[in-house]
Amino acid sequence: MSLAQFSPFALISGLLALAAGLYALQRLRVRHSRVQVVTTLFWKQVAQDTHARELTQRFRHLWAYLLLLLVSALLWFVVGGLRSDSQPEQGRLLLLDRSAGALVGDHWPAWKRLLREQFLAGDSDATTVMVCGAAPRPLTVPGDSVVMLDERLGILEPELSAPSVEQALLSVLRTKNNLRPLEVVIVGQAPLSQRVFDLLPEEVQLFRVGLSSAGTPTALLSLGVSPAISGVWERVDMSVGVRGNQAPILQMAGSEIEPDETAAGGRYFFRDLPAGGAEFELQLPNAKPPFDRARGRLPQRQPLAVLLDPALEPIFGAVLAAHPGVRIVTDGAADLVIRRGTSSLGADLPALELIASGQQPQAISVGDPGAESESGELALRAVLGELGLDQLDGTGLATSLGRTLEVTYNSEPVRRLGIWLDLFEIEGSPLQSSRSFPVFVGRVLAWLADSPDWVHTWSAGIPVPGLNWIGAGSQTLAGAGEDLAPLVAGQILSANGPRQVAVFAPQDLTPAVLPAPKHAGDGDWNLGTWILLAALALLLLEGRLVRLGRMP
Amino acid sequence: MSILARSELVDPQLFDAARRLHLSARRVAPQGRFADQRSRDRGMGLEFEDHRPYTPGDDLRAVDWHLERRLGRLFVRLFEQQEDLPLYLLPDVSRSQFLEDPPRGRAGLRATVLLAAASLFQHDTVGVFPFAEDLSILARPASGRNRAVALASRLAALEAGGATDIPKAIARLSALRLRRGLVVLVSDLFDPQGIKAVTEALGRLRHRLLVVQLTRPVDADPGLAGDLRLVDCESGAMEDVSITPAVQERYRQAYGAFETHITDFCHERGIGRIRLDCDQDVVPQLARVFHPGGFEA
Repeated sequence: MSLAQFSPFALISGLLALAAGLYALQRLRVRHSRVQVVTTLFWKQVAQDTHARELTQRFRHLWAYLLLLLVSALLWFVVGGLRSDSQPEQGRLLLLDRSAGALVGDHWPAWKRLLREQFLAGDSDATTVMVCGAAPRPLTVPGDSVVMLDERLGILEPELSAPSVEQALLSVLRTKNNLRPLEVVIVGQAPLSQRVFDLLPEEVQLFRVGLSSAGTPTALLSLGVSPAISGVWERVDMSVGVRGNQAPILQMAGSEIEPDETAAGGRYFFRDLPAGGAEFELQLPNAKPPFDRARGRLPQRQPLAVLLDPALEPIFGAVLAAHPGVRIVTDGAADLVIRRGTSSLGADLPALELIASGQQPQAISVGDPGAESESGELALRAVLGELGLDQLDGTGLATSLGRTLEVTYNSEPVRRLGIWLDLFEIEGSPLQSSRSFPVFVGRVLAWLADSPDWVHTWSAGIPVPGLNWIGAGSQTLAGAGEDLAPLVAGQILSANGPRQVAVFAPQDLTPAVLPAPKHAGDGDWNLGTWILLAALALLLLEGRLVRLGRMP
Repeated sequence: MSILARSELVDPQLFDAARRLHLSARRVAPQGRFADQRSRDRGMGLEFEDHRPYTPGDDLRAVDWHLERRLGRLFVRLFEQQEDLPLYLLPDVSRSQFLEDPPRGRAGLRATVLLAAASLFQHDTVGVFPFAEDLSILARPASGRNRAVALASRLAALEAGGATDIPKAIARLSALRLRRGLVVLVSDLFDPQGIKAVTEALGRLRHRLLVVQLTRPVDADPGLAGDLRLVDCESGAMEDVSITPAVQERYRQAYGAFETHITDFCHERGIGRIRLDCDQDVVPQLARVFHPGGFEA
């Protein structure tokens, strides 16, 4: 047994003070009630030991004193927060959803209040509280008092981020002792995927409070930009996912555009938008902030200017001519070059070089400025996939050549792909005749131009690679190449710090319905409650004894 | 302000009950006028009582000649002599008699009226002397059936007095030099001077004595608890008492000693004593005692 509020010294001191105080009260003269009687003749004979003018009286009523001392000590224990030192049988983990969902209506104060109630309902010695905003972090640890919780809750505000409840659960599950049961209470509406739910062991009981009975709000869920299905290179299609029945409005270049198509599940499409890097804003008029708008910039999609070595015209001429995103140029204003290894054409440009096997030991040589900063093997695999080389029939090529094919990955000032010319000159080259050859060429050109494939859809929690993106607060993110993660409500935590970028509601704001935990008042009484009841029972006993005249 | 409503004492029911009561004295002084009160002294009277052998000096008119003719010896006839019994009623009207509800003084005064009326209806002489700190004369000794209502009215008009002082009241009564009779003391006997002082004063009384003790169950067991400051309603004296079971037991012992003292005193002196429960009607309580031939003082 120990006290949560007081030290053992304070406990003993308090008990002694109580005993002394009660003793002094016992010694003080009794305050008599005034009663008028017919005669005091007989009382004179029985009250000879009571003297009205004395400050103190002799100590009397030992049993009454002991009873009062017991009651006082019990109450003192309750004040001191007497608790059992034995290990709590069950741990508790309270997860407060601090994500953008807390911004809706009065969710945030309500959830904070519920969290406090849950904290008080259980044993604080076994309770851990975590807040789950962009990333989960602990708020209190076992043994912290509600005062500490209040102080920390008071300065806490919701984050414009997706909930990280699942992340918190997984991190806790990785570290928890499986032999000890754990009660997890999610405070808020953070979604919980079936995958995570299935991972929970039997010792973990999951509950939820704060689930609003109101429907989830109308919101923008996702935004996707992809090459136009019309095939026009300079055009893109935009797809928008919406919760609710209202169609989004696209504002771009001073005009409002309505969706061209609608699909099931709240999908809307804007077709053939000019891919000229223009800013746009999507609006959902009836939705509430921050789920009512998203801003961005359409990609720049101009045809690549490719300088082609005339000697290689027979190999690449037809493929390049058929590629809608490629424009063959003959002067120096080119984005990249395709040349022979011995040629100096477009010397400073990213290049696809066809090199004689005698000049390059490896069949394929990849030069990349970022090769030094990354793990060589991983980078090579990524590049090979990006180039589409993993799609080629390497075994067939090696058999045709009668040689082993090797790949090397080097750091070079500009991107370069050197490949044996022999692979193209052999009769019936399996590379050139392959159906994937145009794909290979297209990917190589895209990689050389450093224009990665688009991620077609952005939605909550899905990272977005390099993109010029305009934030909801009119803050423009300059530069491309950052992996942005538009989460739930506009704030992105990237390596460069938080950025306001976009406003997307999570795909599913409807959280898994879980039972509410059983409160302490429902039957799980702690030691303090029992002590309080014992003190009350003793007080009733004292009252009864007084009424019966068995106690002064 | 009177201590009781007139209707409490001028009560036809009370007078009807008085007519059924009979009070007799064992020995009454031969002086006084002819009355219904029967004396045990045999002599000249109306009703034959007994015979006894003739002795010289007997009135020859009392010789029973019929018996002389039959037995050849002289016997004189004895007749019951009807004598007057003076009754002196001393009701306690101190403040303590009117503290409770219902006041025990109500029972005491009703008992006084009942006894006074019963005696007056027997043509006896009745005097009423209420007392508290001192004795007062409400009605000098006199007879007459019609005095009963007037006496009751005057008792109802009394005002409550101060403290109880029975020895002083008894001394004042003795000083009045009344003809010997029956003194009826109607009181709770709670005199601040103690019961010994009371009995000593009563022992000096040259009249026959009947004690009508006004009691209540709470006298023996007050039912008080806790730390109390008990204030005497007459003297204002205070006693601080923490009442515990032990204290309650000691109280009962003290009250028991008080009762024992009275009982012993009455027994030793041949004094009549009636304990009236003031929470009950006094009429049936007295009727049980004073049925004809049932009580002799």
